[in-house]
Amino acid sequence: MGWLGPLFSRRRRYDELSESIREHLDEKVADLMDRGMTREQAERTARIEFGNVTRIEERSREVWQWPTLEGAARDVRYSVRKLCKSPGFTITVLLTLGLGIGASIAVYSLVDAVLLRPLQFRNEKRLVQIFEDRPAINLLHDTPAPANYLDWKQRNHVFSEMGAANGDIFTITGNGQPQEVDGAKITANLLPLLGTEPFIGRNFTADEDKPGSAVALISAGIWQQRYGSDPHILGRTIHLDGTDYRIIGVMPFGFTFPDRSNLWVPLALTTADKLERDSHFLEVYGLLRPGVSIQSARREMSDISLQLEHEYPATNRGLSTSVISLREQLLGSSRLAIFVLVSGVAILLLITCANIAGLMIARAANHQREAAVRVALGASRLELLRQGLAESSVLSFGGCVLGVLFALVSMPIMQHFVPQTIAAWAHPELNWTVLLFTVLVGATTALIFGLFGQGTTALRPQEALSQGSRGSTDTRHKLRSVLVIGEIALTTIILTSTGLLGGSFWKLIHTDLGFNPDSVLTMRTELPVSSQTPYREFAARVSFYKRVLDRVEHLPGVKSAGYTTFLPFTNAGGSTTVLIQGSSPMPIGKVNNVDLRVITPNYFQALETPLFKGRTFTEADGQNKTPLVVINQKMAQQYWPNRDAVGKQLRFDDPGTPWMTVIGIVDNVRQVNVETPSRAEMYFSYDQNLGIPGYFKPRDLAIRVVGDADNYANEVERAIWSVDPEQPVTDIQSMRHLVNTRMETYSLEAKLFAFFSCAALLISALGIYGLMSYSVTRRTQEIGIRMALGAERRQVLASFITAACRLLFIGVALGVIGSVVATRLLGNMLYGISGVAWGVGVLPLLVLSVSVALAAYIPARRASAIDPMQALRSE
Amino acid sequence: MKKKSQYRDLFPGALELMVLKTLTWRPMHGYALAQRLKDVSEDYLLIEEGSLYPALQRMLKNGWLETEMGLSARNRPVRVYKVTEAGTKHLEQELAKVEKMFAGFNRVLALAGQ
Repeated sequence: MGWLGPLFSRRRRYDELSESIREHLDEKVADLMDRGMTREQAERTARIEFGNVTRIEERSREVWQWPTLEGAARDVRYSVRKLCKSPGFTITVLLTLGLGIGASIAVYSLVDAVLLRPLQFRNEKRLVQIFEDRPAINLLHDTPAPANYLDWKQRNHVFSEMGAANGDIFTITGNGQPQEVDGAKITANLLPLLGTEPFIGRNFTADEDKPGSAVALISAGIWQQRYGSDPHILGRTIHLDGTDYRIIGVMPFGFTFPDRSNLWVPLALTTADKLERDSHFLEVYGLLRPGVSIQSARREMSDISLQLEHEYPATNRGLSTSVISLREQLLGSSRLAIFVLVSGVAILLLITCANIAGLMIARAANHQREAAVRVALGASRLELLRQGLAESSVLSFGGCVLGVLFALVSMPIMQHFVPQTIAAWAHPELNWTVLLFTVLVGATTALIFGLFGQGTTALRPQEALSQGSRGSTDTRHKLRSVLVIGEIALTTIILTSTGLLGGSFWKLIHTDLGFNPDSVLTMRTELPVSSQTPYREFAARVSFYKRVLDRVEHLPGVKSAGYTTFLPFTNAGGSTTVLIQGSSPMPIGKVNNVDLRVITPNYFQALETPLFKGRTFTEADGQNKTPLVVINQKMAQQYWPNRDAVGKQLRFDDPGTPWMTVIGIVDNVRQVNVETPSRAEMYFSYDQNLGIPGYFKPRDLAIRVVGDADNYANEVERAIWSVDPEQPVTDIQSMRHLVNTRMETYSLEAKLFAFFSCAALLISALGIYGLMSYSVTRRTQEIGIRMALGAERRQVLASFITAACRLLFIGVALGVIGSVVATRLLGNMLYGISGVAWGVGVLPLLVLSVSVALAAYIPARRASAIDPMQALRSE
Repeated sequence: MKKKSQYRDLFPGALELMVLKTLTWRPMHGYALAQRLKDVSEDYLLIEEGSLYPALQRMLKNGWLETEMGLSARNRPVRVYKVTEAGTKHLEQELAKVEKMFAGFNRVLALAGQ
């Protein structure tokens, strides 16, 4: 029974109490009548001597109750009854509140998943990533060279551990379908450094981190898919790029570091690697010693870079380092996107609260008489206030329930805001923290408009009863006006922000990418180049590309097809340093750093990248003895400004490499993403063997087709497998899809803000509509008098519109000031729009003005249509 | 709200004590109890009859009293209040305390002036 028992038996107690009192009075009346009183007299006397029956009964009952709890229950019951009597009001408030709270919950769950919850690493707070910077050529956050990494590791006193990784793509064959997975070569100390370990088996030993050791760690995902969660997985072999590796451990679920790795093998730097300062390919991670700040780590690292600059001027001149906390590195720009989202939703919630507060004030005004009567009958102000809070709590609770439902529906959208780097394990969801947040938001909103509503009456109840009490009504009206101004100001901010985000998105999708992404199918065929496969031979690779392209280009509907190192938006690719013939040697520490890609002849045709000058590669170029290069326009302008670059010569910055001739200039292609401008870039032909590292071998296939690209996937796959049935084909998607995914955050942000705007606009319009309607009702009599005295309908209408416009102007003025601040905040989110592009802000303001004017016009019209006689008769 | 009942002027628990003592004599219903208190105190204690009820409810809650159906002086069925065992025990303890208190009180009144 517990605590419920007393509640149930209490009703019986109360009945018994009433009975006892009745019996008492009956006995007394009988006694008094015996003494000669009439019944009437006796009853009167009995009651006088007994005292106030109701009060006594109440006080007797109180003995049995927990006063606050039961009082609250009574208040809640009363509130629900009262709210049910005005369904219009209740539904409006619940829906608005549900929307506001729901949006907040959804966004908060995202914040919780991405920003608040710890990363999956035990040592998270002390983890940093260390980069090489070459400020002179604006090459920042580059991956360090191995020899530099080893020197850092040896010389520093700030890191208790420093480890490295090198991302790679592995092809798994044998034991099922060929599969291509992202993986990493890592140092033996990397996992302990991160604070994680295999959940089956063991980590590499330092001894195994040497060339020739063939051991591997696999992800829990591979363990499940490829090995059916075999409990005896340790010691089994995995066939990677044609070599057998022994599986020594399985990493925990969700662990995919770095990036989306599913497979880890020892980094195993060779002796040559360990001396390499010119080739930069390591990701370097450090674990700060306990108590060492990131600032002191930065100081120490910059000291070491200075030493290295002196010791190895040829390679290290101008090379500095940057140390960034791993969390910051992983979250990247998504932090800003989320912050903007949070601001948007906070504004929406504020508008919601302001609007509901306005509604509550209006409602309190209608219930003013009732409240006053209750005060007169003995309700304390506190009780009245409590009643008001009970009502708003009931509404808030309903709002929270609706909000949670709304949030559940919109949760999948939030996943798109999770940065790719942590998407594997960070999922926005309804957990306890989020629910706690919901309760907090609900309680706050309830408190705010509960006080606004009943609070205003509770403060001065007497006035309500006195006739014609304009005083308190005016205060209330002013308060509502202030709220409406606030709503309009906030709506202005959210509208201009939406305008800017929308404008930026429009610019983004209309950016000249340097290629046409429509009707292009793309996929990746990563050729394994380890010593065990035929593709280690250049000729075998060339023959593979030739045969695949030949078959694909002969498929019906295919216009052209070409291979490249990395398609735009898939991978930033790599760069190299070059020397330009005829130009003076570069000063020490400065280099000509140029991106490069290796392509097949029809690649530009397939992507429809315009050729500006000269020619692109042909099939005959393989036989050409002179190395040839096609460059982009950016490179032409950078190195041969105001001159014709075609026919000019350049070579790699390695002694003994041959001069190469520029044969053509193509448009700049946006390689990294839409918003990053192109860098200087060179293209080489796939069949000229220039000693370019295997990393740059072509792997991405682009196929221009007639019609919908997705329809060709199966045929193309079959064509590739007819050349090599063992070859994995991955990342099959249309170029359009690839481009759109990269713009997803932008488009979602713009769409969400559009949604916020619509909601804010609607709510504000409702707010001003409510205020105006109320004002019209309140002033019916006054309008009647004015019209009786000869005021024109038009004048009445104008006076209301003017009042609305005054609120609008004040609100918009305040909002514009707020927008300036907001724009600055948005700055880094915007693309192609400078800070004060008011053009995009003006249109939303027009929309706002029109909606507000309309919201004011409808009640104003009603006012002007008032029949003076009727109005004067109305109370 | 001012508390009107005079018992508050005695000491906390005084009313309970008187009610318990009265009811140990015999179980009574509210009206009879009020009359009895009035008669015994020879109208010295003017009570508002109603104020008995909150006290009765308190004592019911504490388990010192229980109710049962009985008959009034006019042979009508009424709810009568009856002292429980816990009530008797409480009464004894309280009476002992009160006696001690009055003893001390009397000593002070008798000797403090000398």
